[in-house]
Amino acid sequence: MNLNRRSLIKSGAAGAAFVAFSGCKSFEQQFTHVPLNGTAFSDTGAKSVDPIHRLLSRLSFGVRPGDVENVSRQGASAFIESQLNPHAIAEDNILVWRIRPLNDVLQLDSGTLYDVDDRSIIGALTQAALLRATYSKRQIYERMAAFWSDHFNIYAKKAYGSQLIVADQRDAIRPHALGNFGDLLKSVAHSSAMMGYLDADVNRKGVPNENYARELLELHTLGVNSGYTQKDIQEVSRCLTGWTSEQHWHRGRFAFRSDWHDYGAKTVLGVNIPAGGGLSDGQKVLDIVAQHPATARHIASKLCAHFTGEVPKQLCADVATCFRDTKGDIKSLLRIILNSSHITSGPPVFKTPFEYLVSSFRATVTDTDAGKGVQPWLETMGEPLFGWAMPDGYPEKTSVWSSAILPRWNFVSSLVSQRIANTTVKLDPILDAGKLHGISQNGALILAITGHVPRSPQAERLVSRLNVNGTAEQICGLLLMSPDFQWR
Amino acid sequence: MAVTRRQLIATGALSLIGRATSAHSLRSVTLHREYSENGHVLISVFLRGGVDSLNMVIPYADDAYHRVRPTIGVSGPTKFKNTAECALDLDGYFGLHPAMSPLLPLWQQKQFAAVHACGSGDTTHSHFEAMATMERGLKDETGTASGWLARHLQTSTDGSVSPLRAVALSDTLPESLRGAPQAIALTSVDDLKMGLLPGMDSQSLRSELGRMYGVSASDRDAASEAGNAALHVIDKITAAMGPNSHGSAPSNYPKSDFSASLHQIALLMKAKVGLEVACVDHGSYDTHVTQGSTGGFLAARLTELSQGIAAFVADIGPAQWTNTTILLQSEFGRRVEENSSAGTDHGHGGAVLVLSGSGIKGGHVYGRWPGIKPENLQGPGDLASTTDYRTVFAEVLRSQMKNKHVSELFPGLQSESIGIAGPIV
Repeated sequence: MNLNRRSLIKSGAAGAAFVAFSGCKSFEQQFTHVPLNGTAFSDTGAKSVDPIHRLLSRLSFGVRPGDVENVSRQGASAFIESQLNPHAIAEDNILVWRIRPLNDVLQLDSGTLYDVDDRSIIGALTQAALLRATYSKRQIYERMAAFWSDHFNIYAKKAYGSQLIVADQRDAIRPHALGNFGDLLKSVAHSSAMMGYLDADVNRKGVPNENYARELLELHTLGVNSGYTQKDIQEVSRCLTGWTSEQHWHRGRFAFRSDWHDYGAKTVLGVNIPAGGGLSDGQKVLDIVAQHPATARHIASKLCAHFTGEVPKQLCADVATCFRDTKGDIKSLLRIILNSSHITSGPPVFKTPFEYLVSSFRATVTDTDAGKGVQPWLETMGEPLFGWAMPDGYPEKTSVWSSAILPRWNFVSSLVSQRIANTTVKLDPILDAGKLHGISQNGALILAITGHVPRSPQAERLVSRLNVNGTAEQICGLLLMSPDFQWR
Repeated sequence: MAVTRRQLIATGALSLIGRATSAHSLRSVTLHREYSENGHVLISVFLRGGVDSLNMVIPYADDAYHRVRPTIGVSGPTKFKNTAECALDLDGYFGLHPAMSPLLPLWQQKQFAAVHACGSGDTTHSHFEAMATMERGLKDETGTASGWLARHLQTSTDGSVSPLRAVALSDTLPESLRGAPQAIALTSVDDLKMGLLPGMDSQSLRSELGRMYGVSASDRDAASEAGNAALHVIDKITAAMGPNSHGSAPSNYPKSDFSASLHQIALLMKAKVGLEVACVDHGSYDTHVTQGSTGGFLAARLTELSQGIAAFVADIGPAQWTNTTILLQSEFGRRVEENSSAGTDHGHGGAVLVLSGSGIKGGHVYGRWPGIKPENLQGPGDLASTTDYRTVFAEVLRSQMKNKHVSELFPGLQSESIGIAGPIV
């Protein structure tokens, strides 16, 4: 098994290099690609970066050598449109092969997973997430899968979180990541992982447990201070009484226990729910909150902030309107945001550790199994997956992550020194393409890693700051450590 | 709405860092080992999840308490019972949870005080809103974006130029330190060692990083600020502690992440690197289900908490303990009546605990007790809050940390003292 995986990794490595540089010509052309408007960006963080580079660094998990040229040839909107139909994009074998052995865990039902230890499960989930972020061609889809995992955050260490998260990811989050928000919400509401995490599965008639009801309104749908009351939370709790999970052989399956349900009449957000409803009470609640105007505004602003680094009034209003018109079609929301000018003009967003790590891999054509050598770095940098205890998910605030910059440098030190197991940085393709165009080693690395175009003031300044006599590994390491690479 | 406020927080923090650590002030940092050897250190322990303060400082003498908590209630002290099975008497009315017995000697030495029925104006019952309010030192959710400890550090700069004035023993900085000058998050002092690049010695790497992050003032952003702060901390620690590993806590600490964090704080205090504030979390207090009574889940949390603190106080020794204050807080208390799952739901009023080797009049439960009969309760059945929690924070900062600008730190605060501060010795 182990040997098999290793040999797969080896052949996959050749595949990765081939895929990234199938047609070195397109990558060469990146060096002559002229930015649309070199100074069109806000004055903090990523300055004078090629706009396509900027676009890609926001809607993907990082820019690979060659990506900018491919997208500029195709046109940004055509690229976005193709990304919004991920099923039409075939994945490379490198990803398919490396995910396959993980299916021993990821395809199991929750009942069977109760026999598997937490570390193996979280390891497999993290490995899959890292591999997909690094190698998937469906980058917007994978970004959204990660976005919703944070939005509907679950802590692996509570109850049987690890065992149940596998199904939550596979059956609730991923099928709906680019689908309809209401469907996504309902899948998550029925998920044993979420019910266990927020105590919904012990919510019974008489003395309801409000935990899930509160987070449903505050975090998952309407948003805090959007007008609902403590009474609404209590009424939502009552509607959801009796929602729980099967036990024993069918652990992890949704169950409705009518003997736990409160059959009295309720009022939720001004809507009357007549007595005698049963399971349908909770379903009505999910419909009410999924279609609520406050939910449209909340999701619109959260998506805008995630992709553009700001919450522009008009853009948010447009996205919220679209949410109402399409009853929460996620693709339609993204189409507006990703095609807006804010995607390149908005302020830079400080990368989370996951984004930083994956974008380092992508920029340097790193061949990795994303396994035991890599995963501890996510933890050291502060973002072990499914390790955020609170239901609001990992924060995106700059100030949260900028305080831990030293672990990022130390990660780069290990990466560039080739000290991370089953993980190899490959700089030759970048340097060879640079040579063809008479661009120096440092210039080629700066372009590939930071997106600063050759001879721009920012590139010149970075060169002058770097040791001109450094080896490619040293320069690559310094660039990954640089302030410029901390932003997307 | 929520996002708007979060945006505000983000911008606020950035500009604060920008102002607080200008290029000039960072560059002027030099190694003054003497600067805060006698300075007071505040250790802020946040009990995440909303600790059940009624089972921590227990109104055992009130029949109403036992009526509404038939499963999880803790009996009052009686001479017929083993002390591990009943509350440890504090004043004839309140008792300490028996799991907190390691801290009882400090209570008896008047180095440990409690303020009960303490809280903020937050009524959302939301962990995040209540934490955001408390960590920013606000009355309710509206107000300044910076953390209360950050504002304290900004206004109490008497002589300290340490790049490591504040640490958070965690992966990320807590809200209370948002905008703090010279604050860093770490899990171990070993985290402050820097890895190398192939073929480049540490001095060259240090100088390359210094050049890249030392951009001109107009180009400064949060990344360059953070990078500069990190470099100066590395310099400082390398000079003070040498190259040895300090990762694992010695055997006089109990085995827990919390104890390990306190050990790291003790190391930094002993290294005299100018530490003024340390933040550490102790979590899993969100006891909605089967929280237990004298034993069980909550008791295990309180045991870990109390043993850790007792070991820390012993480790730093009596001299440093007189220059140390530990402040325990939580975002809210829990519902007075137990729920159907033998746990408690989110409540309102809670308790703040203060421990110090000098300067406080401990051995007393402060605050006006509102009672827990049905007619005394607030909202859906919560302990009322009769003391603005900021009164306690303010008094600690003024009397223990010698901050002269307390009224500016907590806008709208009615009273800046509840009487904990002892006569100045």
